[in-house]
Amino acid sequence: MNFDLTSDQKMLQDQVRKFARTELAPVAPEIDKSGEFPWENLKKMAKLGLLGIIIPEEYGGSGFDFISLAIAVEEISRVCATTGVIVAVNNSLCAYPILQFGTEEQKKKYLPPLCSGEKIGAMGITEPNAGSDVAGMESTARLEGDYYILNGTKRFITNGGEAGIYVVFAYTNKEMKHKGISAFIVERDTPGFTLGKHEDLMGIRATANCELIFEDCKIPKENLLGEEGQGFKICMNTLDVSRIDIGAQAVGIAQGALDEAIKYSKERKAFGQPICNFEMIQSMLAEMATQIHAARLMVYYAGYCKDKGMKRFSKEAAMAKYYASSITVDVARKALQIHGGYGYTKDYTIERLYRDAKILELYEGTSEIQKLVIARELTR
Amino acid sequence: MGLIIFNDEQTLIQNEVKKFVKDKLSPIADEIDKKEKFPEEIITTLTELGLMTIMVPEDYKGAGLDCTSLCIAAEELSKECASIGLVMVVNNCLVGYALSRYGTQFQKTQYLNSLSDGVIGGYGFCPEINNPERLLKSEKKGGNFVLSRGNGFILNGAVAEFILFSNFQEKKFLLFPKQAGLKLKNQYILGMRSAGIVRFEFNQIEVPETSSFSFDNKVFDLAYIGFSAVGLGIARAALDSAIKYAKERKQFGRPICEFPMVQELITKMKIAVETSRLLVYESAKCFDNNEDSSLIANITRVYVTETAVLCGLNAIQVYGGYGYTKDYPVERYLRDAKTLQVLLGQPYLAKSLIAKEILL
Amino acid sequence: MEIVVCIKRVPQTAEAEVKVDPSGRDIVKDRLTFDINEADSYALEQAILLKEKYGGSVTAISLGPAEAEDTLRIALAKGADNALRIKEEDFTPLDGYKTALILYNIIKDLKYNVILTGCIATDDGYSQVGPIIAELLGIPHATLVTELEIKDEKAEVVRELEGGLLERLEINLPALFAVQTGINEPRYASLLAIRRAAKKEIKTLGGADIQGEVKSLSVLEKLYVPPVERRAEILSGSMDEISEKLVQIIKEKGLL
Repeated sequence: MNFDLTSDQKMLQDQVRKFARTELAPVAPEIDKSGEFPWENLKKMAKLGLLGIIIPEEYGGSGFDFISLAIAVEEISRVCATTGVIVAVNNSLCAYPILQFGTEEQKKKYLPPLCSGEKIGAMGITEPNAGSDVAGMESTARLEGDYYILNGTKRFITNGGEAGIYVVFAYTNKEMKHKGISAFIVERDTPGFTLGKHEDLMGIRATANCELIFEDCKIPKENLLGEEGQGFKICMNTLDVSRIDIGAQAVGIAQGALDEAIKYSKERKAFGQPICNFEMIQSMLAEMATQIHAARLMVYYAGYCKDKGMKRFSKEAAMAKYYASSITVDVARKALQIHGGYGYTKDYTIERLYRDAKILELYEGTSEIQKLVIARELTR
Repeated sequence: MGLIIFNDEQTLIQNEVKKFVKDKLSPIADEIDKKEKFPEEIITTLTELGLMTIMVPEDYKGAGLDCTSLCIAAEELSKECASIGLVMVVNNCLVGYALSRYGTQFQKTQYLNSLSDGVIGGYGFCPEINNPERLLKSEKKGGNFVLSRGNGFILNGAVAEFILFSNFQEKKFLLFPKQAGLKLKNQYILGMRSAGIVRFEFNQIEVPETSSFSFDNKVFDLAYIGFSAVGLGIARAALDSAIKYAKERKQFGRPICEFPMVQELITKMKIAVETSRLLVYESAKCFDNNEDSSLIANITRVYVTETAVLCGLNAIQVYGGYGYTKDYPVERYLRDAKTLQVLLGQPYLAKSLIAKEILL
Repeated sequence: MEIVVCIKRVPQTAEAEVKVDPSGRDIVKDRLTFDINEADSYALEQAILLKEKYGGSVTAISLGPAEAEDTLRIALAKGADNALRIKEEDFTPLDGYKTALILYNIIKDLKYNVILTGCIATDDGYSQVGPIIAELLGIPHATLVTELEIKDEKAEVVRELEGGLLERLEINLPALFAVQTGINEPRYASLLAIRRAAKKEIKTLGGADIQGEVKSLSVLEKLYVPPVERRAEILSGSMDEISEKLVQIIKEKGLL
């Protein structure tokens, strides 16, 4: 069992960490405050190849593996969780399904702009009445001549308000139940597609989280992704993979919180000594570090399963996401406690991390759903 | 319920406050938080109802009621808007009670009386209270105290006309009007955004000797209990919201309250809320009976604030993605709960006080 | 244009506590992180900018331990074409002269139009190596370079002097330039470049590749943290009186 990062992965980690610290960290507070989509950050990251980390070079990507994607998302999220999730979604929720299930024409058309940053990607699954119950979605698409006519509403779509390319799911055949869902690649300027409500969130506030409204939206039939009825499978497969980098985002936020807590506990004095000398603080820091370490290993392992080509890794991916998201909330809480009196003010990054952390237990499948996935795999 | 029996007076207060909350507070609670505005109109009404001076003795135009009554009112107010509950508790426990119990005759006449006229008192503290180098240092100069270099927070600071500062090293309160030379700064805070909490700093400030007076721990016991009642209100709000949502929201063809995992989230909340309630009113009773309430107050503040945070987290979890948006109040419950917990002091410090009491 | 750039791997001590080790001649290194010397990262960027503008190739050289290969690999990812590590372990102890002598020995057999180094290393702070290499090679050099342009086989440089003064020079190539931080904005290695760098080889050279003897000219006797003394005197009086007193003190301390 080799736990070492490869030379390429080490260099990627080194460069992304430096980049994040120097370029992303200083603007993170303002991004959170204004809630404005961080195009500047994305442009810089596109130049480094971070928007298409797992996409092969021939389509404009950087040709790295999923562990590398996890490393990159973690380093970015450590200083700016919003930017971290935008990069994660671009890579694994939009570019990845097109790479995995798309025709050669679709790959050639849509992957290069996603990698170059010319267009940002998003995925539309969730609806007002269908969150955890993916198959409960109500959007429909019917074939009429050369077009699919798409009708429905998607809600809480990360990158939704600024994306140019969307992977959207809808029922093409309600009778087949979840085997009647299909996936489509939808471009932003397709007639019949408008943006709805922009969500005001507690944390990760600059992800352009938006409602997508489809009213007799005409999608060229070449934009069907995969086959009719393959949508649910595409969705589940994509979520398995994206749990790796969303887990990495959770680890990143937790690591950022730990960094802040250690720094603060060394500086802040009480009873004549830095508070990091007190057993209670040491106990908390130790717990935090252990939780992060475990979560990171689980995320890397899920990435390894994918990179190795394992056919089924839903359980490992769900475990990584479930565990990482629960510890990040706990680590952020402890870090805020260590900061005490000043921690809840905006002078200190930790207040933002505390708000950012909670979403990890909710999106990409709530923790409860992750547990159902794990249990199902255990009892098959 | 069982151990917690309210007398007629207390029941009356509970009903009155519930009514006030439903009619006047409920419609604007969300707006108050979003605007991060100190709700002056509400505070005026609360003063008129006597809630801002609920524990101030009748001699000084207060309602002269007990800690249990305070907790009842704080709980009901905080269930709707924790910021308001906090303002009320600070005014009553840290200002009103401190003055009435420890203040000089002059101070009581001057300041205590004014509370029932709608004047609000603030409470200032330096978070780094255990760092001797950063404490409020006071030196005598003539008939004055000279305080050197302080920085920290003032609860109710946005509208307080006078402020009590705590100097823990010397166990003294210092009382002075707001304009005595403090630099106040608005501070963006995680939660309790409408409670008017401000940042202060000063370099040198002179206050007359007559403005200082000693205190003992009893005032903080009361504060812990009062703040815990606020936490209880937040926890109950989160629990009730979660129950309501779980019954309405359908997924997989059924209301989500039928799913055991959702039930688990809510059951945990319910157990914690009931226990918190018992603790709050037990400590209030202890305080009202003039018993030593330090230990129970510490236990209460640790447990209830943890409960409030747990309920905030679990309520968001029950709501799923919706819970994370500002369209629903649950994310505010979490933010308010966490802020309250930090304000009340790190649990690990409170726990070491408990440990000291029972082990050493 | 053939460009050689010398880079050094140094401990990052800005936010770390530095302790002297038991030998009294080195610092405790096991808790520190290491990275490319700050000024050298600007030198590397300048080398790549020159290559991008005028064509040619960049060779990055580092006299360092095995770990210096990580630093060289990133240099390759950022655009260097060749990388050479000279095994520091074959030559310790080193002083500035010996380092320069070793580097000179290797560089003299390479093709070069421009040699770049950083102006100062953040660990020992000697600023010697660049100028000594130039002298040994018999080529002109300039230090504290903040601007560098090439025009018809000549370099036009700007040097940063004290007091905000700038000096403009014209220098014939081949020449060596020790660059100042801020001369450019060092890039981050893109992911594609990182992958491509894996195909480039890092050559290792050691004692056997140096002809002749290489000797230090100085010996490090002792490394210590200056004792902390607390003494502050507040001068009072009129501006003239204070100035008088200040001059007096400065004279007494032998600083004038």
